[in-house]
Order: sequence, then C-alpha cells, then structure tokens
Amino acid sequence: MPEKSMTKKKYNFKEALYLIEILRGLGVTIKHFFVRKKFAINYPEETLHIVGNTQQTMKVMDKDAQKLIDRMEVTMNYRGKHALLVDGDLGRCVACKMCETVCPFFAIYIEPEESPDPRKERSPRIFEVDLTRCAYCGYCVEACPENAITMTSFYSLVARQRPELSIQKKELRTVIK
Amino acid sequence: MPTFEIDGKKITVGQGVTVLEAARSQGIEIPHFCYHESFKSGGLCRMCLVEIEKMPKLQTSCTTVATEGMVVKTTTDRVKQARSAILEFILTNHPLDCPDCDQAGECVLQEYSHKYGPDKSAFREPKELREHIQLSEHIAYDPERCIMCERCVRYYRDVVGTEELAVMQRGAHSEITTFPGRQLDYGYIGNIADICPVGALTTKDFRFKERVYNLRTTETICPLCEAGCTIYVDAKKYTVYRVRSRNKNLTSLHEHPNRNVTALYPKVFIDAILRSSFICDDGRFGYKKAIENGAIPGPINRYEPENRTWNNVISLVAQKIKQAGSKVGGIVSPFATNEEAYAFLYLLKYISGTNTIGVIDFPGAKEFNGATKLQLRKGSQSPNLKGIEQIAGALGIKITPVEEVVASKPELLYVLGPTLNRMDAYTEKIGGIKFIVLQDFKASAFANNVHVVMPGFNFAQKDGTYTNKDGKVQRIRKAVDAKGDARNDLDILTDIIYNISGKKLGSFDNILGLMVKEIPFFNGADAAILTTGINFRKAAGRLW
Ligand code: SF4
Ligand code: SF4
Ligand code: SF4
Ligand code: SF4
Ligand code: FES
Repeated sequence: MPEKSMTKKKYNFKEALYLIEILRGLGVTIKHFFVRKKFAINYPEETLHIVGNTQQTMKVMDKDAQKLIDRMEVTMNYRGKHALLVDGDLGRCVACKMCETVCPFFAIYIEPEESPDPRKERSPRIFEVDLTRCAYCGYCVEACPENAITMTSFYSLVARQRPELSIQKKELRTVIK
Repeated sequence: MPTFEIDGKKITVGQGVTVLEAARSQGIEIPHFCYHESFKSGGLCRMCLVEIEKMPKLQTSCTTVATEGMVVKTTTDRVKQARSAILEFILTNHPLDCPDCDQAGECVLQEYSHKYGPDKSAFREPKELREHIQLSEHIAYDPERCIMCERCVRYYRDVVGTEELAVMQRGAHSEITTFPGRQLDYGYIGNIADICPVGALTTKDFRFKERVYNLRTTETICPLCEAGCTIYVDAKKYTVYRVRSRNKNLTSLHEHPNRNVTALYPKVFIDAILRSSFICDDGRFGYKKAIENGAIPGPINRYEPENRTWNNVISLVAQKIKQAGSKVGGIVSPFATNEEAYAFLYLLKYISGTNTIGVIDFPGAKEFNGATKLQLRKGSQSPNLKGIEQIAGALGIKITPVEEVVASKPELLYVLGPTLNRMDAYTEKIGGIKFIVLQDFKASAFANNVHVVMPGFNFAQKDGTYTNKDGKVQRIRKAVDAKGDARNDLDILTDIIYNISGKKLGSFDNILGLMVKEIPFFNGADAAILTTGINFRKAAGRLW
C-alpha cells in the first residue's frame, strides 16, 4: 500500500500574523451594526409569504394573516400542509394507498371507491391526513405514483381542537393550472 | 415410473405426471400462468417453457409428460430469454398500473415481471385502454389486464361444467365474455376471481376495498353449511374484508402414495382438490351473515340491573343454575364449536343433570343449480351439527327440537348462541320461564326479551374446531379481534362451570384433549395439526 503523507502549508508572515483575518471577521460583525435586516418575525402578527404553485389556495387559507412581510418567503422546498392536486376537473389521486402504506406515522387514512369519472378507475371517497400525527417527512410525496399528493409551504397549522387538524379531501384538493 | 433428470437432479415420478408438476414437487419453480391444479393444462400462456435435451424447440412443461431418460433444464439462457420475450408480449397492452389494480401484492404477473421480465419493451405504440365490464352482478372484468390464460374459461368448462364463458375476438382485441343469452349464475362464480392470476377479475364485494398486503390471512373453515369448506379469511383489525378459497399448491397430493398414477386426478382426491380449491358463493359473499356485529357492547343483566360486570353476571348465572337443579333447559346453536358444545353439555349433564338439549334448526343448504358438476353444499346451514350430535351421543344426552325445550317450561333456559336471529320466533313463547340466559354476539329480538345476555364471539373471532358432515374435525381460527366488552364463549362457559363446581376445564386445546380421551369419535384429533384434513405443504410465498 502506498504511504500517504501530508505536508503542512508554510504560512508567510502576513498569514501568520492572523491580524488581517481577525479584522475581516470583525468587519462582518460591525457591518450589522449599520445594515439592519430583520430575521425575527413577530408571529402571528406578522407572517411569511407562502410561495409555490399552490399559492392561490394558500392565500385563501391565509386570510387571517394580518401582515405579510415583504420579500420574506418560506422556501420552496419547505414541507408544510399537504395538498391533493387536481388537473382541470379530474383529481389525480387514484386511492392506491401507497402514501398510506409508506407513512411511518399512520397519519393518512384512505377509503377508495369506484371513480364516478369514467376517465379513471378509482378515486378516494375519504382522504384524511392527520396533521397532529404527521412528521412532515415527505415520504408520502415520494411514494405517490401519480404525483397527486404534494406538500405546500403552508406552515401555520393552528386549531382550537385536535380534530380540526385532521384535514379531509375537500380541504386538501388544490387546482393546478 | 419414469426416472428423469431436471436441473441435474435425478427424480422418479408417477406415470402421466407433467414436467411442471414434477418440478414443483422438487421445489423447482417454473413460472406459469395458465396451468392450474384443478383442471387440464391448456398450454396457452407459454410462460412455462423449458429446454429438453434432444428436442429442437423449447417445450411447455405444463403439457409435456415426463418420460424415462429426459434431461430437462429450466435455467438456461435460452429459457430465460424466452420467458422475458413472453412477458414482453403479454405486457404489450397491459397497463402495468399496479397501484390502481386490486391484485397488486398477490399478482403473478407482477411477481414474474419483477423476476423474469425485460426492463424495457420494444413496443413504442401507446397501450390500448379499455373500460371494465360487469360480467355479472358480482364480478367485474377488466379486459386490459387480462392475459388470456383462459383459466376462467376452463374453470367453467372443466370444473363447473356449464361452459358460460368464452374468448371472443382475436389478438389484441380478444376478451372474455359470456355466450350470447347466457349469464353467470350465482353459485360458484366467485372462484374465477381467485383463480385469475392477474387483476382482470375482481369481486364486487372486495373491489377497491383494501390492499391485499394490508390484510392478515387466517386459515379457517366456512361456517355456512355442513360441508365445512376450507377458507382463508383476510382481515384487518376488527374487520373481515374477504373470504376466499384455500386455492393451494397441491404438490403434496402428487406425492401421495395412494395416487392413482394413470389418471391425472384420481377419484379419491377429486373431492379434496375441489373442496380445497373452490368454495361456493354463499361462503364467499355471505360470510357477513355469520359475523355481522349488531354489537352487544357488554353483558346485559335485566334481572339485577345494577350488577353488570362480568363477574357479577357469571356468579348470578352460576347461582341460578345451582338453584334450578335438573330443571335447566339447554338450547345450543350449531354454530358453537365442538369445545363449546362439550363444555355446555358437560354443564347440563354433570352439573345440572339434564338429559335433553335443543339444537337450533338452520334450514337446509340448497345447491344453487342442479346442472353444475361442482356441487359443494352439504346438509343444513349448521357448520357443527355433526359434532354436537356426536358429543351429545357420547354424553348420553338426547337431542330434541327447540320447541320441546321451550314448551317444557324449564326453571332456567340457557341458550348458547350464535342464534343469528333464529330464536326470534320463540320470543313470545318464553313467557313463563323464570330465568333466561343467552350467549350471543349479535343483538336480536330474542336478546331483548331475556334476563341475562352475555356477549360472545362470532366464528371469525374465536379458536375451536368444527366437525363437518363427513365427520372431519377441522380447526377454526381467530382472524379478528372483538370490539367492546365481549368474551370468548368458551371462557364464559368454563367460568360458570368453575363457579359452580370448582372444576377447571381449561382452554380450547385442553378441552379438545379431554374430548379425544373421552369420546371415541374424536380419536386422533390434534389441535396442532388440524388444518384441512389433508396435510398440505405450505406453498412457498405463493398466495394462490
Ligand atoms: S409527510 Fe410523512 S408523516 Fe406526514 S403524512 Fe406524509 S409520510 Fe406521513
Ligand atoms: S395521493 Fe398518491 S399515493 Fe396517495 S393514494 Fe393518492 S395516488 Fe396513491
Ligand atoms: S394485473 Fe398485476 S401486473 Fe397488471 S396492473 Fe394488476 S397488479 Fe400490476
Ligand atoms: S380473466 Fe383472468 S383467468 Fe380469465 S383469461 Fe383473463 S387473465 Fe385468465
Ligand atoms: S403454464 Fe404452460 S403454457 Fe401456460
């Protein structure tokens, strides 16, 4: 086996002094004394912008939010409340129970039925996501063969009672354009 | 007895055994779609191709009879390539949308596609999509999933004998239909959903209800007639989702020493093969009759309404039985297991000293259509009548009709259910009886008029044995949990016996052991091996 060796880099005088680097670091700190960017959000008086292709519905859900902070958005890949996508008038979900099967926390409950729409064989009669159980791991999204379930960036999940956080098909359906 | 070589292994098989059957008996898997134990091979799917030395072409192993000196190879490259090509061809128009399909999880095509299939197809054309057709009220047929193995057609031709199904059209357009003016009658139609290797045939009862891999399968016995067919109950938590036949790998039958080597299916086994492969539609769709839960949430005590715990109720019943002495009238349902019947009769005979018992009458199980070759129904709709008769006979208890027991006005009437509403007719006639006890899992008019109701289990919730009309003792097994505060009927009975006499009868296998010792009829019965009567070898991972 060839021997591995490492030579230590020789610092020149400027580098060995460290002073410039220290000043540079301090510079970053000092800059923030003058340039003020706000990071803390006074939730719930202030809320974050919710983005993504499900924005339309999310806005409706968000109508209670009193103030949206400009230019501060939840990242696109944030995993929040689920949505079931609808193409035109046809729901994508075929009630195959893949998401229910993969969910490590048994948060999804589905009851399939014969689809009333002839373009599809089956569809969910009941589709329920229990957000109190969900760990927002996103496995359900990965498992879905129809790209029907996605996770939106809607993060404000508050309710007065637990059952309100068990969301149903009607509430989950989201039309995409 | 030809001796031949398969994959380097020398084996000797009976005359007339095919290469496929011989391979299965050795645990060598040859993939196949159209071969089925219960009827003649068709050589239709060509999935079972094997290479045989000195034969220029690959041969279908399901139709090739093993002969002396053959050298069969099942894993050569030629065979593998042929399998993959056949699968590619079968999948030309097959949607392969397994998540949408009910068969996924127990689908032979899905399994073989994974194991032997090509990873891409030469066919670029879009797949032809077709809508499902309702073949009958109970069966939906999905032509796009059908692989034209004709198992269903041959089932109606060879097994049922009425020949309703046929293949119509040609090539990619072919589909299974009934002959014009014919229809699939209720009777033995559900079996085609079991034997279809893919998801083309589905029963209305189960279609889209649950994924098969979420269900737990239990081997048990159909309780809807005296024939006692062997069934699988597929259930999840508290709910039974479907009942199907134990459509099994019958390889072990071929090794049986009594096998008549000239005929493919020897007479003595035909009944056994059919009985284990197929069940009637009453059993398949009518199981709900025997498990429907009218939910009695817990013990009911109308005699001392404040005492409603199990302990109170059991000691009350025990005390009343003691007081009534030999004036106890007993009525037993033929849905009670052998062990329950034994405990109940033990209670009547040795503790009360009663010498008669009423057995609830369930009317005869009629054959659906006289013209079918397949006739499985036997006797009445009482799964354990024979067992109760045998036990009563051994204990010297006379069986009388229920009317006589009720008319004799006993001090105490003890009804061991499940009565399945058959006692409702006596609701008015029980007026004068001072104390009536009922054990039943389901609410009924009769249950509303008795003093004490002790909620028990239905056939899918308990362990025990049933004796069928031929005298075969078969095991029923617990498939689902009971909801609420119900208790095992046998435990209730043994608790009452313990309360009165201090004698412990123990659990179901102890009682079966007792019966084996005391009643000659049960000689040789053993809780551990009682499965089907014939000891089938477990098929490795195969569900059909
Ligand atoms: S995100 Fe994870 S925990 Fe939540 S429903 Fe999906 S699979 Fe279940
Ligand atoms: S959301 Fe997707 S994975 Fe879940 S049932 Fe519907 S189609 Fe299947
Ligand atoms: S029949 Fe089998 S292979 Fe075809 S879609 Fe259904 S599960 Fe998949
Ligand atoms: S319906 Fe099923 S059993 Fe009948 S031919 Fe098609 S695949 Fe075979
Ligand atoms: S199993 Fe042999 S051809 Fe189908």
